[in-house]
Amino acid sequence: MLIKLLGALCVIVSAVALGRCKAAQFSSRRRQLAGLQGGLLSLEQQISYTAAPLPQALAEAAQAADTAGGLFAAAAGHLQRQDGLTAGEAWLLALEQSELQQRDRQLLTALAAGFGHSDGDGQLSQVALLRERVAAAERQAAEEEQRLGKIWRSMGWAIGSVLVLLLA
Amino acid sequence: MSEQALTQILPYLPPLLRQLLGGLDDEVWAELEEIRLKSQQPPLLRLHQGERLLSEYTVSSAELHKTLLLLAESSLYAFDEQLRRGYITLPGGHRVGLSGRAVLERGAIRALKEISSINIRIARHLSGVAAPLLPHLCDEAGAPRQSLLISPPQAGKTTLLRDIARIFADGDGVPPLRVGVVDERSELAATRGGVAALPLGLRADVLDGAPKGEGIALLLRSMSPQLLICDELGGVADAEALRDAANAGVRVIASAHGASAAELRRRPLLRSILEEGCFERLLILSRRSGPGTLEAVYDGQGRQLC
Repeated sequence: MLIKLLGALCVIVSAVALGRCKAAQFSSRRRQLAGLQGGLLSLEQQISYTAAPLPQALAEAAQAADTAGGLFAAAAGHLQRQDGLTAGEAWLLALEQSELQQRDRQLLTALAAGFGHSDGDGQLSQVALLRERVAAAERQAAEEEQRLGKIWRSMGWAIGSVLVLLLA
Repeated sequence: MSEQALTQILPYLPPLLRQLLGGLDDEVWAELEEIRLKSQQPPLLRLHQGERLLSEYTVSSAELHKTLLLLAESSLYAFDEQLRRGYITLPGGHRVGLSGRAVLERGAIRALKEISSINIRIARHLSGVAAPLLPHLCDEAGAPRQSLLISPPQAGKTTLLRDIARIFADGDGVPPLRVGVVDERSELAATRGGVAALPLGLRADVLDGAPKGEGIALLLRSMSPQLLICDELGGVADAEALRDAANAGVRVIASAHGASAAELRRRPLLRSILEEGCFERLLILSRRSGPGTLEAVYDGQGRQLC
Protein backbone atom coordinates (compact mmCIF):
# COMPACT_ATOMS: atom_id res chain seq x y z
CA MET A 1 0.00 0.00 0.00
CA LEU A 2 2.74 2.35 1.00
CA ILE A 3 4.69 1.37 -2.06
CA LYS A 4 1.72 2.06 -4.29
CA LEU A 5 1.36 5.45 -2.69
CA LEU A 6 5.01 6.22 -3.15
CA GLY A 7 4.79 5.00 -6.73
CA ALA A 8 1.84 7.24 -7.43
CA LEU A 9 3.66 10.16 -5.90
CA CYS A 10 6.69 9.51 -8.11
CA VAL A 11 4.58 9.38 -11.24
CA ILE A 12 2.80 12.61 -10.42
CA VAL A 13 5.95 14.38 -9.40
CA SER A 14 7.77 13.42 -12.63
CA ALA A 15 4.82 14.33 -14.80
CA VAL A 16 4.46 17.67 -13.12
CA ALA A 17 8.20 18.22 -13.38
CA LEU A 18 8.13 17.45 -17.10
CA GLY A 19 5.22 19.76 -17.60
CA ARG A 20 6.93 22.57 -15.76
CA CYS A 21 10.14 21.92 -17.63
CA LYS A 22 8.35 22.34 -20.92
CA ALA A 23 6.69 25.49 -19.63
CA ALA A 24 10.02 26.83 -18.46
CA GLN A 25 11.38 26.53 -22.00
CA PHE A 26 8.90 29.17 -23.08
CA SER A 27 9.89 31.57 -20.37
CA SER A 28 13.59 30.96 -20.93
CA ARG A 29 13.15 31.74 -24.64
CA ARG A 30 11.38 34.95 -23.80
CA ARG A 31 14.16 35.89 -21.43
CA GLN A 32 16.78 35.11 -24.06
CA LEU A 33 15.03 37.32 -26.59
CA ALA A 34 14.86 40.12 -24.03
CA GLY A 35 18.58 39.65 -23.41
CA LEU A 36 19.28 39.73 -27.14
CA GLN A 37 17.55 43.08 -27.36
CA GLY A 38 19.69 44.36 -24.54
CA GLY A 39 22.81 43.18 -26.28
CA LEU A 40 21.81 44.69 -29.61
CA LEU A 41 20.92 47.97 -27.93
CA SER A 42 24.33 48.04 -26.31
CA LEU A 43 25.92 47.44 -29.71
CA GLU A 44 23.95 50.30 -31.22
CA GLN A 45 24.93 52.66 -28.44
CA GLN A 46 28.58 51.78 -28.68
CA ILE A 47 28.69 52.12 -32.45
CA SER A 48 26.88 55.41 -32.29
CA TYR A 49 28.61 57.11 -29.35
CA THR A 50 32.09 55.70 -29.18
CA ALA A 51 32.58 53.98 -32.53
CA ALA A 52 34.03 51.07 -30.57
CA PRO A 53 35.36 48.37 -32.91
CA LEU A 54 33.34 45.16 -32.90
CA PRO A 55 35.70 42.98 -30.85
CA GLN A 56 35.24 45.33 -27.87
CA ALA A 57 31.66 46.28 -28.71
CA LEU A 58 30.53 42.65 -28.83
CA ALA A 59 32.30 41.86 -25.54
CA GLU A 60 30.52 44.79 -23.88
CA ALA A 61 27.21 43.78 -25.43
CA ALA A 62 27.63 40.33 -23.84
CA GLN A 63 27.44 42.02 -20.44
CA ALA A 64 24.16 43.70 -21.33
CA ALA A 65 22.61 40.59 -22.84
CA ASP A 66 21.64 38.67 -19.70
CA THR A 67 21.09 34.99 -20.58
CA ALA A 68 21.90 35.62 -24.25
CA GLY A 69 25.36 36.94 -23.39
CA GLY A 70 27.07 33.77 -24.51
CA LEU A 71 26.35 34.49 -28.17
CA PHE A 72 27.94 37.94 -28.10
CA ALA A 73 30.85 36.72 -26.00
CA ALA A 74 31.59 33.86 -28.40
CA ALA A 75 31.58 36.19 -31.40
CA ALA A 76 33.79 38.67 -29.53
CA GLY A 77 36.15 35.85 -28.65
CA HIS A 78 36.69 34.83 -32.27
CA LEU A 79 37.46 38.42 -33.22
CA GLN A 80 39.75 39.08 -30.27
CA ARG A 81 41.73 35.94 -30.95
CA GLN A 82 42.17 37.12 -34.56
CA ASP A 83 41.27 33.70 -35.92
CA GLY A 84 41.08 35.22 -39.38
CA LEU A 85 37.30 35.53 -39.23
CA THR A 86 35.39 38.66 -40.14
CA ALA A 87 32.63 39.81 -37.83
CA GLY A 88 29.95 38.28 -40.05
CA GLU A 89 31.69 34.91 -40.02
CA ALA A 90 32.28 35.09 -36.28
CA TRP A 91 28.62 35.90 -35.67
CA LEU A 92 27.43 32.94 -37.76
CA LEU A 93 29.82 30.58 -36.02
CA ALA A 94 28.71 31.81 -32.60
CA LEU A 95 25.07 31.33 -33.64
CA GLU A 96 25.73 27.77 -34.71
CA GLN A 97 27.36 27.01 -31.39
CA SER A 98 24.65 28.74 -29.34
CA GLU A 99 21.67 27.11 -27.70
CA LEU A 100 19.08 29.33 -29.30
CA GLN A 101 16.08 27.82 -31.00
CA GLN A 102 16.23 27.38 -34.75
CA ARG A 103 13.65 30.07 -35.49
CA ASP A 104 15.58 32.61 -33.42
CA ARG A 105 18.89 31.66 -34.98
CA GLN A 106 17.31 32.19 -38.38
CA LEU A 107 16.26 35.66 -37.34
CA LEU A 108 19.72 36.58 -36.11
CA THR A 109 21.63 35.44 -39.17
CA ALA A 110 20.40 38.64 -40.80
CA LEU A 111 23.08 40.55 -38.89
CA ALA A 112 25.92 38.59 -40.45
CA ALA A 113 25.52 39.94 -43.97
CA GLY A 114 27.75 42.97 -44.16
CA PHE A 115 28.46 43.06 -40.43
CA GLY A 116 31.11 45.72 -39.98
CA HIS A 117 31.17 46.52 -43.69
CA SER A 118 29.23 49.76 -43.62
CA ASP A 119 29.77 53.22 -42.31
CA GLY A 120 28.27 54.37 -39.02
CA ASP A 121 24.74 55.10 -40.17
CA GLY A 122 24.45 51.97 -42.26
CA GLN A 123 25.65 49.77 -39.45
CA LEU A 124 23.30 51.38 -36.95
CA SER A 125 20.26 50.87 -39.22
CA GLN A 126 21.14 47.24 -39.63
CA VAL A 127 21.40 46.61 -35.90
CA ALA A 128 18.33 48.70 -35.11
CA LEU A 129 16.24 46.79 -37.64
CA LEU A 130 17.29 43.49 -36.16
CA ARG A 131 16.52 44.73 -32.67
CA GLU A 132 12.97 45.58 -33.76
CA ARG A 133 12.51 42.12 -35.21
CA VAL A 134 13.81 40.56 -32.02
CA ALA A 135 11.41 42.74 -30.02
CA ALA A 136 8.54 41.42 -32.13
CA ALA A 137 9.73 37.86 -31.55
CA GLU A 138 9.89 38.55 -27.84
CA ARG A 139 6.31 39.76 -27.78
CA GLN A 140 5.27 36.60 -29.52
CA ALA A 141 7.35 34.52 -27.10
CA ALA A 142 5.74 36.27 -24.13
CA GLU A 143 2.33 35.43 -25.51
CA GLU A 144 3.36 31.81 -25.99
CA GLU A 145 4.70 31.70 -22.46
CA GLN A 146 1.38 32.90 -21.10
CA ARG A 147 -0.78 30.60 -23.14
CA LEU A 148 1.26 27.47 -23.67
CA GLY A 149 3.14 27.66 -20.41
CA LYS A 150 -0.12 27.43 -18.51
CA ILE A 151 -1.28 24.54 -20.65
CA TRP A 152 1.91 22.53 -20.10
CA ARG A 153 1.89 23.08 -16.38
CA SER A 154 -1.69 21.84 -16.12
CA MET A 155 -0.88 19.01 -18.53
CA GLY A 156 1.75 17.82 -16.09
CA TRP A 157 -0.79 17.45 -13.32
CA ALA A 158 -3.41 16.05 -15.61
CA ILE A 159 -1.22 13.37 -17.17
CA GLY A 160 0.26 12.49 -13.85
CA SER A 161 -3.15 12.00 -12.31
CA VAL A 162 -4.42 10.00 -15.27
CA LEU A 163 -1.42 7.69 -15.13
CA VAL A 164 -1.90 7.10 -11.42
CA LEU A 165 -5.55 6.28 -11.90
CA LEU A 166 -4.76 3.94 -14.77
CA LEU A 167 -1.99 2.15 -12.98
CA ALA A 168 -3.72 1.89 -9.61
CA MET B 1 62.86 42.19 -35.27
CA SER B 2 61.40 40.12 -38.05
CA GLU B 3 59.74 37.90 -35.42
CA GLN B 4 57.96 40.93 -34.10
CA ALA B 5 56.80 42.22 -37.47
CA LEU B 6 55.54 38.73 -38.26
CA THR B 7 53.39 38.44 -35.17
CA GLN B 8 52.15 42.01 -35.51
CA ILE B 9 51.09 41.80 -39.14
CA LEU B 10 49.99 38.22 -39.83
CA PRO B 11 46.91 38.26 -37.56
CA TYR B 12 45.43 40.95 -39.81
CA LEU B 13 45.59 38.82 -42.94
CA PRO B 14 43.09 36.20 -44.10
CA PRO B 15 44.14 32.57 -43.53
CA LEU B 16 45.53 31.81 -47.01
CA LEU B 17 47.65 34.93 -47.20
CA ARG B 18 48.72 34.38 -43.65
CA GLN B 19 50.00 30.94 -44.53
CA LEU B 20 51.76 32.16 -47.65
CA LEU B 21 53.57 35.05 -45.97
CA GLY B 22 54.20 33.14 -42.78
CA GLY B 23 56.08 30.58 -44.81
CA LEU B 24 58.68 33.06 -46.03
CA ASP B 25 62.27 32.75 -44.85
CA ASP B 26 63.50 34.78 -41.92
CA GLU B 27 66.00 36.50 -44.20
CA VAL B 28 63.19 37.74 -46.40
CA TRP B 29 61.31 39.11 -43.39
CA ALA B 30 64.44 40.86 -42.17
CA GLU B 31 64.78 42.60 -45.55
CA LEU B 32 61.09 43.32 -46.00
CA GLU B 33 60.00 46.90 -46.40
CA GLU B 34 56.59 46.59 -47.95
CA ILE B 35 53.97 44.00 -48.76
CA ARG B 36 51.83 45.14 -51.68
CA LEU B 37 48.53 43.39 -52.32
CA LYS B 38 46.44 44.00 -55.37
CA SER B 39 43.22 42.49 -56.65
CA GLN B 40 43.85 39.71 -59.19
CA GLN B 41 47.62 40.01 -58.87
CA PRO B 42 50.29 38.10 -56.98
CA PRO B 43 51.60 39.70 -53.79
CA LEU B 44 54.63 41.90 -54.36
CA LEU B 45 57.28 42.21 -51.68
CA ARG B 46 59.56 45.21 -51.62
CA LEU B 47 62.86 44.45 -49.94
CA HIS B 48 65.78 46.63 -48.93
CA GLN B 49 67.40 45.63 -52.19
CA GLY B 50 64.97 44.86 -54.98
CA GLU B 51 61.59 43.19 -55.12
CA ARG B 52 60.09 39.75 -55.03
CA LEU B 53 56.90 38.64 -56.69
CA LEU B 54 55.09 35.68 -55.13
CA SER B 55 53.88 34.61 -58.53
CA GLU B 56 52.56 31.22 -57.46
CA TYR B 57 49.60 32.93 -55.81
CA THR B 58 46.91 35.38 -56.93
CA VAL B 59 45.04 37.58 -54.50
CA SER B 60 41.31 37.45 -55.29
CA SER B 61 39.09 40.51 -54.88
CA ALA B 62 37.20 38.77 -52.10
CA GLU B 63 40.41 38.10 -50.28
CA LEU B 64 41.51 41.70 -50.65
CA HIS B 65 38.20 42.87 -49.25
CA LYS B 66 38.51 40.44 -46.38
CA THR B 67 42.02 41.78 -45.70
CA LEU B 68 40.59 45.27 -45.45
CA LEU B 69 37.95 44.08 -42.99
CA LEU B 70 40.49 42.29 -40.84
CA LEU B 71 42.75 45.35 -40.85
CA ALA B 72 39.82 47.40 -39.63
CA GLU B 73 38.89 44.81 -36.98
CA SER B 74 35.72 44.16 -38.97
CA SER B 75 34.52 47.63 -38.04
CA LEU B 76 34.74 49.92 -41.03
CA TYR B 77 32.44 52.39 -39.24
CA ALA B 78 35.20 52.93 -36.69
CA PHE B 79 37.78 53.67 -39.36
CA ASP B 80 35.97 56.46 -41.22
CA GLU B 81 38.79 58.93 -40.71
CA GLN B 82 41.46 56.45 -41.72
CA LEU B 83 39.55 55.53 -44.88
CA ARG B 84 39.29 59.18 -45.76
CA ARG B 85 43.03 59.68 -45.30
CA GLY B 86 43.85 56.45 -47.08
CA TYR B 87 45.74 54.54 -44.41
CA ILE B 88 45.29 52.43 -41.29
CA THR B 89 48.00 52.13 -38.65
CA LEU B 90 48.48 48.71 -37.10
CA PRO B 91 49.77 48.06 -33.59
CA GLY B 92 53.54 48.00 -33.96
CA GLY B 93 53.47 51.11 -36.09
CA HIS B 94 53.10 49.43 -39.47
CA ARG B 95 51.24 51.67 -41.84
CA VAL B 96 48.80 50.14 -44.27
CA GLY B 97 48.08 52.33 -47.28
CA LEU B 98 44.79 51.89 -49.12
CA SER B 99 43.73 52.78 -52.60
CA GLY B 100 40.49 52.27 -54.44
CA ARG B 101 37.58 54.34 -55.59
CA ALA B 102 37.24 57.77 -54.05
CA VAL B 103 33.89 58.89 -52.72
CA LEU B 104 33.68 62.64 -53.07
CA GLU B 105 31.76 65.19 -51.10
CA ARG B 106 31.86 68.78 -52.23
CA GLY B 107 34.96 68.06 -54.21
CA ALA B 108 36.97 66.55 -51.38
CA ILE B 109 37.56 62.87 -50.68
CA ARG B 110 35.15 61.71 -48.05
CA ALA B 111 35.99 58.01 -48.10
CA LEU B 112 37.45 55.21 -50.17
CA LYS B 113 35.39 52.36 -51.52
CA GLU B 114 36.11 49.20 -53.52
CA ILE B 115 39.66 48.99 -52.27
CA SER B 116 41.87 47.63 -55.03
CA SER B 117 45.33 48.01 -53.49
CA ILE B 118 46.64 47.46 -50.00
CA ASN B 119 50.21 48.39 -49.15
CA ILE B 120 51.63 47.29 -45.81
CA ARG B 121 54.71 49.27 -44.85
CA ILE B 122 56.81 47.54 -42.22
CA ALA B 123 57.90 49.93 -39.50
CA ARG B 124 61.35 49.55 -38.07
CA HIS B 125 62.21 51.12 -34.82
CA LEU B 126 65.98 51.35 -34.91
CA SER B 127 67.34 52.86 -31.76
CA GLY B 128 70.57 54.74 -32.24
CA VAL B 129 70.51 55.25 -36.01
CA ALA B 130 70.59 59.00 -35.59
CA ALA B 131 73.60 59.00 -33.27
CA PRO B 132 76.14 59.63 -36.06
CA LEU B 133 74.18 62.74 -37.07
CA LEU B 134 74.22 64.28 -33.60
CA PRO B 135 77.47 66.23 -34.04
CA HIS B 136 75.83 68.06 -36.94
CA LEU B 137 72.48 68.48 -35.27
CA CYS B 138 73.73 69.88 -31.98
CA ASP B 139 75.89 72.73 -30.87
CA GLU B 140 78.73 72.34 -28.32
CA ALA B 141 76.32 72.39 -25.40
CA GLY B 142 74.27 69.55 -26.86
CA ALA B 143 71.37 71.82 -27.72
CA PRO B 144 69.72 71.13 -31.07
CA ARG B 145 70.23 73.44 -34.01
CA GLN B 146 67.45 74.31 -36.43
CA SER B 147 68.02 71.45 -38.85
CA LEU B 148 66.46 70.11 -42.01
CA LEU B 149 66.98 66.58 -43.27
CA ILE B 150 66.71 66.42 -47.04
CA SER B 151 66.55 63.24 -49.04
CA PRO B 152 64.72 61.43 -51.82
CA PRO B 153 61.91 59.08 -50.73
CA GLN B 154 62.70 55.88 -48.82
CA ALA B 155 66.09 57.02 -47.65
CA GLY B 156 65.23 56.68 -43.98
CA LYS B 157 64.20 60.24 -43.05
CA THR B 158 61.29 59.08 -40.95
CA THR B 159 63.32 56.45 -39.10
CA LEU B 160 65.99 59.05 -38.37
CA LEU B 161 63.51 61.67 -37.16
CA ARG B 162 61.96 59.11 -34.89
CA ASP B 163 65.31 58.39 -33.32
CA ILE B 164 66.20 62.08 -33.09
CA ALA B 165 62.97 62.69 -31.16
CA ARG B 166 63.81 59.83 -28.84
CA ILE B 167 67.38 60.98 -28.27
CA PHE B 168 66.33 64.44 -27.14
CA ALA B 169 63.20 63.34 -25.29
CA ASP B 170 65.14 60.76 -23.31
CA GLY B 171 68.28 62.82 -23.00
CA ASP B 172 70.32 60.03 -24.54
CA GLY B 173 73.79 61.56 -24.67
CA VAL B 174 72.39 65.10 -24.77
CA PRO B 175 70.59 67.27 -22.24
CA PRO B 176 66.93 66.21 -22.25
CA LEU B 177 64.30 68.46 -23.75
CA ARG B 178 60.51 68.58 -24.02
CA VAL B 179 59.85 67.40 -27.55
CA GLY B 180 56.67 68.09 -29.49
CA VAL B 181 56.06 65.79 -32.45
CA VAL B 182 53.62 66.76 -35.19
CA ASP B 183 52.87 63.37 -36.64
CA GLU B 184 50.73 64.37 -39.60
CA ARG B 185 50.58 60.96 -41.21
CA SER B 186 50.91 58.82 -38.08
CA GLU B 187 54.28 57.60 -39.29
CA LEU B 188 56.56 58.85 -36.57
CA ALA B 189 54.82 57.53 -33.49
CA ALA B 190 52.19 55.33 -35.15
CA THR B 191 49.65 56.11 -32.46
CA ARG B 192 46.77 53.68 -32.19
CA GLY B 193 44.11 54.16 -29.57
CA GLY B 194 46.12 56.81 -27.78
CA VAL B 195 49.23 54.72 -27.37
CA ALA B 196 52.31 55.34 -29.46
CA ALA B 197 53.35 52.05 -31.02
CA LEU B 198 56.81 53.45 -31.62
CA PRO B 199 57.74 55.20 -28.39
CA LEU B 200 59.43 58.52 -28.92
CA GLY B 201 60.86 59.06 -25.47
CA LEU B 202 59.98 60.18 -22.00
CA ARG B 203 59.44 63.86 -22.71
CA ALA B 204 57.82 63.54 -26.13
CA ASP B 205 54.26 64.69 -26.79
CA VAL B 206 52.70 63.54 -30.00
CA LEU B 207 49.96 65.26 -31.98
CA ASP B 208 48.62 62.61 -34.30
CA GLY B 209 47.07 63.31 -37.66
CA ALA B 210 47.12 67.11 -37.61
CA PRO B 211 48.29 69.22 -40.54
CA LYS B 212 51.65 70.72 -39.67
CA GLY B 213 50.55 74.35 -39.66
CA GLU B 214 47.78 73.90 -37.14
CA GLY B 215 49.62 71.13 -35.36
CA ILE B 216 52.67 73.22 -34.58
CA ALA B 217 50.47 76.07 -33.37
CA LEU B 218 48.54 73.73 -31.10
CA LEU B 219 51.60 72.12 -29.59
CA LEU B 220 53.20 75.51 -29.00
CA ARG B 221 50.09 76.58 -27.10
CA SER B 222 49.45 73.43 -25.16
CA MET B 223 52.67 71.51 -24.53
CA SER B 224 55.38 74.18 -24.29
CA PRO B 225 57.90 72.15 -26.26
CA GLN B 226 61.55 73.06 -26.49
CA LEU B 227 62.05 71.12 -29.69
CA LEU B 228 59.55 70.43 -32.46
CA ILE B 229 59.86 67.49 -34.83
CA CYS B 230 57.89 67.24 -38.05
CA ASP B 231 58.11 65.26 -41.24
CA GLU B 232 57.88 66.42 -44.85
CA LEU B 233 57.76 70.17 -45.02
CA GLY B 234 56.33 71.62 -48.17
CA GLY B 235 53.21 73.73 -47.77
CA VAL B 236 52.61 77.41 -47.26
CA ALA B 237 51.19 76.85 -43.80
CA ASP B 238 54.35 74.98 -42.85
CA ALA B 239 56.51 78.03 -43.46
CA GLU B 240 54.22 80.20 -41.33
CA ALA B 241 54.27 77.66 -38.55
CA LEU B 242 58.04 77.48 -38.61
CA ARG B 243 58.27 81.23 -38.21
CA ASP B 244 55.89 81.04 -35.27
CA ALA B 245 58.01 78.39 -33.66
CA ALA B 246 61.18 80.40 -34.20
CA ASN B 247 59.50 83.45 -32.68
CA ALA B 248 58.58 81.38 -29.67
CA GLY B 249 62.19 80.36 -29.27
CA VAL B 250 61.46 76.73 -30.06
CA ARG B 251 63.92 74.68 -32.10
CA VAL B 252 62.71 72.69 -35.06
CA ILE B 253 64.16 69.61 -36.69
CA ALA B 254 62.22 68.63 -39.79
CA SER B 255 62.54 66.76 -43.05
CA ALA B 256 61.80 67.52 -46.69
CA HIS B 257 61.83 65.61 -49.94
CA GLY B 258 64.60 66.42 -52.34
CA ALA B 259 67.84 65.21 -53.80
CA SER B 260 69.87 68.26 -52.86
CA ALA B 261 69.64 71.73 -51.34
CA ALA B 262 69.88 73.25 -54.83
CA GLU B 263 66.83 71.28 -55.91
CA LEU B 264 64.89 72.56 -52.92
CA ARG B 265 65.71 76.13 -53.81
CA ARG B 266 63.95 75.62 -57.09
CA ARG B 267 60.73 75.04 -55.21
CA PRO B 268 59.13 78.38 -54.32
CA LEU B 269 57.61 77.35 -51.00
CA LEU B 270 60.74 75.81 -49.61
CA ARG B 271 62.98 78.43 -51.15
CA SER B 272 61.51 81.09 -48.92
CA ILE B 273 62.10 78.90 -45.88
CA LEU B 274 65.71 78.37 -46.87
CA GLU B 275 66.35 81.96 -47.84
CA GLU B 276 65.05 83.25 -44.54
CA GLY B 277 67.81 81.23 -42.97
CA CYS B 278 65.35 79.34 -40.82
CA PHE B 279 67.66 76.39 -40.71
CA GLU B 280 71.20 76.37 -39.41
CA ARG B 281 71.99 72.97 -40.78
CA LEU B 282 70.87 71.17 -43.91
CA LEU B 283 71.69 67.46 -43.99
CA ILE B 284 71.51 65.76 -47.36
CA LEU B 285 70.78 62.04 -47.12
CA SER B 286 70.47 59.19 -49.60
CA ARG B 287 70.18 55.42 -49.92
CA ARG B 288 73.58 55.03 -51.45
CA SER B 289 75.08 52.82 -48.77
CA GLY B 290 71.72 51.79 -47.35
CA PRO B 291 69.01 54.07 -45.97
CA GLY B 292 70.30 57.01 -43.93
CA THR B 293 73.58 57.58 -45.76
CA LEU B 294 74.83 61.11 -45.04
CA GLU B 295 75.92 62.75 -48.28
CA ALA B 296 76.64 66.33 -47.25
CA VAL B 297 76.02 68.96 -44.58
CA TYR B 298 75.47 72.65 -45.31
CA ASP B 299 75.07 75.54 -42.94
CA GLY B 300 72.40 78.25 -43.09
CA GLN B 301 74.34 80.27 -45.64
CA GLY B 302 74.78 77.37 -48.01
CA ARG B 303 78.39 76.67 -47.20
CA GLN B 304 79.25 73.02 -47.32
CA LEU B 305 80.63 71.81 -44.03
CA CYS B 306 81.35 68.19 -44.87
